[in-house]
Amino acid sequence: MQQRSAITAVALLIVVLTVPIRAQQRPLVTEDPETIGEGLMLLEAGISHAWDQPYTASGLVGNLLSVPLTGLSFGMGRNAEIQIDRVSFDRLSITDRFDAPLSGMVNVPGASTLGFDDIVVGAKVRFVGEGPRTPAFALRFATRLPNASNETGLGLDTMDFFQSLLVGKTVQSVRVVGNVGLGILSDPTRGDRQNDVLTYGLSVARAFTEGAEIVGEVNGRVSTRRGAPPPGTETRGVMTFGVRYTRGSVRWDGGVFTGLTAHDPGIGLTGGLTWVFTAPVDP
Amino acid sequence: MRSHTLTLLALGGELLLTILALVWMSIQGLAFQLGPDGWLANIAFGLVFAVLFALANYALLRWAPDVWGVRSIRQLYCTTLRPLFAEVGPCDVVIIAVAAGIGEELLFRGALQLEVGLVPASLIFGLLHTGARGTFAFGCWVAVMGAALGGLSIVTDGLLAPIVAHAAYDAAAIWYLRWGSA
Repeated sequence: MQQRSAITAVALLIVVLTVPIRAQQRPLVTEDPETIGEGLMLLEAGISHAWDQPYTASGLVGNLLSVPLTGLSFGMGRNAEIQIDRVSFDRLSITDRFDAPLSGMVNVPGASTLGFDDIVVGAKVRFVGEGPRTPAFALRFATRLPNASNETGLGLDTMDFFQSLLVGKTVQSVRVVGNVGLGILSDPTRGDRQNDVLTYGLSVARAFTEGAEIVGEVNGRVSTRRGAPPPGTETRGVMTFGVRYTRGSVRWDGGVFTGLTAHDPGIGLTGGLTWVFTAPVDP
Repeated sequence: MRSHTLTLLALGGELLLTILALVWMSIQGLAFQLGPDGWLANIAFGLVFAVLFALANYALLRWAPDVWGVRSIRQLYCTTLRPLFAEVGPCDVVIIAVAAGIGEELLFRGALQLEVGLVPASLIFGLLHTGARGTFAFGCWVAVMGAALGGLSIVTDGLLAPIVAHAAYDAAAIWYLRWGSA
């Protein structure tokens, strides 16, 4: 009896807490300038599998499984949001190795390696709302923490900083979002050097039936270093196509992605869900 | 058009051009280079270029107003561009000019010119500034300017000088359209 009451209470809490979904990206990574809204939280989780993922610093190549790809966002006001992303484990099934600057630090004798992904902590501030004719604009600042280690071959043990200008506009049933920014990436082989990269993202989402939409994006970065960039900071790009289906306050998604450069995975699959709900505690 | 609406539309459009250029560079493995000679030298090159082109433009419009091409450009300025920028403020001018300098230089000089060469890239640059009636001469002028900006990027071996030149020239041109005498 007591158990049933508890389940009912949790169910009621979920119903009360859930709100309509907006301003979320999965399976895309191009950041929408819209924030989730005051007093709301966004929780996302997913799984991704990429084939032929090269690690240019450690010299490993393999098939990468990332799970649970958790992200949490807090709506700190009408126009501000704090984000914690890529809380996840990575498992690389190694298919090949090559000589790389940090190969000597890798401590992976077997055919696979496992480790934490780098967590990204960020904040987004929308400074222009979307108008009938004009797009919305926002700024996003993010720091990638050095959680993934050199020894696993999956990380660089460096901290990177990103700042981006975000723009988005909905025209009829099509949502177009663009990101342009600057990333300051530490050189994993030298403490006194970094590489500045220009980051970009362009995504399109089109509703094709109630609750369902087809999405696509290109997202990546361009190195500004003359000559060979430090390992792990090269020019990269990924193209993703997918679908999203929203039912209630939960959005399910699935997608396929492919790398655009030699430093990106060959092809990959991703899937997951996103849930927006009222924050249990008012910040 | 209200000044902020125009500014936001221009900023959004130029951001899309920037993204397009970066996607292109990423896929083709093109290197993004600001210029090897240091920031000050490139900014100085860019500003000198902008002053020269602005003076040339002003001189043509003032002293040869009845020549066919110049007359057409004057007409475009008076009937289309001057009303378009009629309500912009100083901040709008700066934002529009800087966004245009970055977005268009990245795409045309940073990506397209490296792929197809100086002349085709300049012609495409000019062509994309035409469209409506009476814009052919303006497109030719823009193509010439594109070729000069392309030459500047080759001479300075980077994009900072053309970005500065483009932004400064656009700022001067919009300033003249908004506050200059007709």
